[in-house]
Amino acid sequence: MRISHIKLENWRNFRLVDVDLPFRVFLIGPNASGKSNFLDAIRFLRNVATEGFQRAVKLRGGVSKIRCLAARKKPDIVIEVCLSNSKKDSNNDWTYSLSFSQDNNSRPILKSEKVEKGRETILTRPDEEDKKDVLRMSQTALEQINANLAFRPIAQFFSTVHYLHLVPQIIRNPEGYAIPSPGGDPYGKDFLEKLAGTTPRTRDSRLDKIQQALKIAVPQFSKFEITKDARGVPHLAAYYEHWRPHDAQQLEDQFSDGTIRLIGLLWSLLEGEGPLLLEEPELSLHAAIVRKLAPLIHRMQRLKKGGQRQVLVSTHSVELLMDPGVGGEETLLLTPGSESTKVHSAAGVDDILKLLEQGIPVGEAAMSYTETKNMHQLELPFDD
Amino acid sequence: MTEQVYIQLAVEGDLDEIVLRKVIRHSSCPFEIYVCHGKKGKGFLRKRILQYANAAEKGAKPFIVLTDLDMQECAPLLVGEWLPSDYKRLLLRVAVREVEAWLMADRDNLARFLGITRSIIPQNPEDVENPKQVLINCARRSRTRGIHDDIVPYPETTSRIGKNYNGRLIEFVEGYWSIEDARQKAPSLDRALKSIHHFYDALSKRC
Repeated sequence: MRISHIKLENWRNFRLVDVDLPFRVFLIGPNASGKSNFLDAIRFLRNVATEGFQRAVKLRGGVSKIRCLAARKKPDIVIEVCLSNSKKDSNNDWTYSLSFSQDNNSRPILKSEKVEKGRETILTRPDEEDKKDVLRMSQTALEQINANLAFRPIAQFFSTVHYLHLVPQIIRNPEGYAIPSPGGDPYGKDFLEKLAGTTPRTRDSRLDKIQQALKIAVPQFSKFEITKDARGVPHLAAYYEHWRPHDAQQLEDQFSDGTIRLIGLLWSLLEGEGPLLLEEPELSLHAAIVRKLAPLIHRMQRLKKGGQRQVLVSTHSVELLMDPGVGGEETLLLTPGSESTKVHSAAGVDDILKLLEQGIPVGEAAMSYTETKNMHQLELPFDD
Repeated sequence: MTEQVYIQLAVEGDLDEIVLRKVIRHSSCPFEIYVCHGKKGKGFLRKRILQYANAAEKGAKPFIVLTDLDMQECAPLLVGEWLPSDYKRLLLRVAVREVEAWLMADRDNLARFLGITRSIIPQNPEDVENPKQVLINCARRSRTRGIHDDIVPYPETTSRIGKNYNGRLIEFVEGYWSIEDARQKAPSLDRALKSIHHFYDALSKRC
């Protein structure tokens, strides 16, 4: 299953978003255009499904932090997603929509919640009971096992959303950081724990694949394995070819940022089935590797037994989108306006499409549109 | 001449973009610049130009492209090599021999900006073989703080220009460069302005 369409109203810096999402999506736009906020709408659904609506809003600092500043007169925040199976039969597609606001005491309150399957309506709220008991509107049906029986697959699907923004420093020194974050462990705090906790067979098969990739990407790299120190804390040990008879060993605290990020990226692509949200996977990686990321993501999406896995990537990298296999329809262009950001598929912008039709890669045809107008004046404030 | 025409640009680098934008603005043709492509050097522009031209022929917004002549013999030869046939929706203009010659063609303002005497700047900059180098040599004699430091390459560096070469010259182009003065001494700039007018007329008639 994948999120085939998303509609947002008044979500963070978007007044209105209404776009299709293929299996692989690249989000591009200037700094602070809302790439992470776009991904956060999907993380929000995960939080609602796993931790509940109240907690999901609280994690983001309340309704007023979530609501778009361009919104007038405190209207509702709306998230609507269409979920499709890879087959073309739309009768099995799900639509889930949620709208909410806050009451007079700034408490988050649902305005509506709807579920459809094909053309059949499964749930419409507020229903009669909600009208009798207003408190019911402080929780979604999605988060309640008693109430979501008829659409359990949606709740399960949302709970498989995984967000990744690995920070090498945190992997090296997990005790040193305590960062609360909505939706699991995006920064890699217990990455090594998770790795060590995987069943040995699965783990070894994954590590073997990653090892082969690292041999290509990292000079002198020969192999790595999971070890535990005297306190039972897991470590990644890598071996490098060396002029000495035995390879030189390094633990993760000595790995380079690029090595750690590549391991984390590949692991997260291999782990899990649900939508994977990747923030700037190009960070710390050599340009030649970055150019390979788009096809690599594609190949790893196809490895999944239960059908293709959806991957959404935010990026600033022209290199990443220079792969000729990246389509304009896979690329969402975020354009900040005076009040809110607009989101278009790059293939939907006629002038970009015409360049793509001439064989110019997306990275080049669309990236020029993400430059801000006065970029060349960046040095001026620092004049003597 | 009031009908607005949207266009796209393609150039070699940041400085060229700012120069071309200012030249188009100065032409007072109501062009609205949609986006600027390229900025990866001359070889890249050459590689892409037919694709831009074909995209424009097929309905993408028209292109204005600016490149340097460099050491090639003459501009018509370069244009003929880059665009073997005629494209009505792409205008390729060539700066003789580099866009820096267009900047040096406004001697008074450039001398003031660089803090040098006017006579150091060549009178006929389009006859100069390596305008970038000549401009840097002018900046070497600057009395203005920061100019030398920004424009002139450090001794022993492999870079041919200073560390904020583009930034400084962009500042000049945006704030001080007089195109009216420059076109008197830079014939290729004068021709570029005229052909931008023709380009606009041809496009707006066809709309």
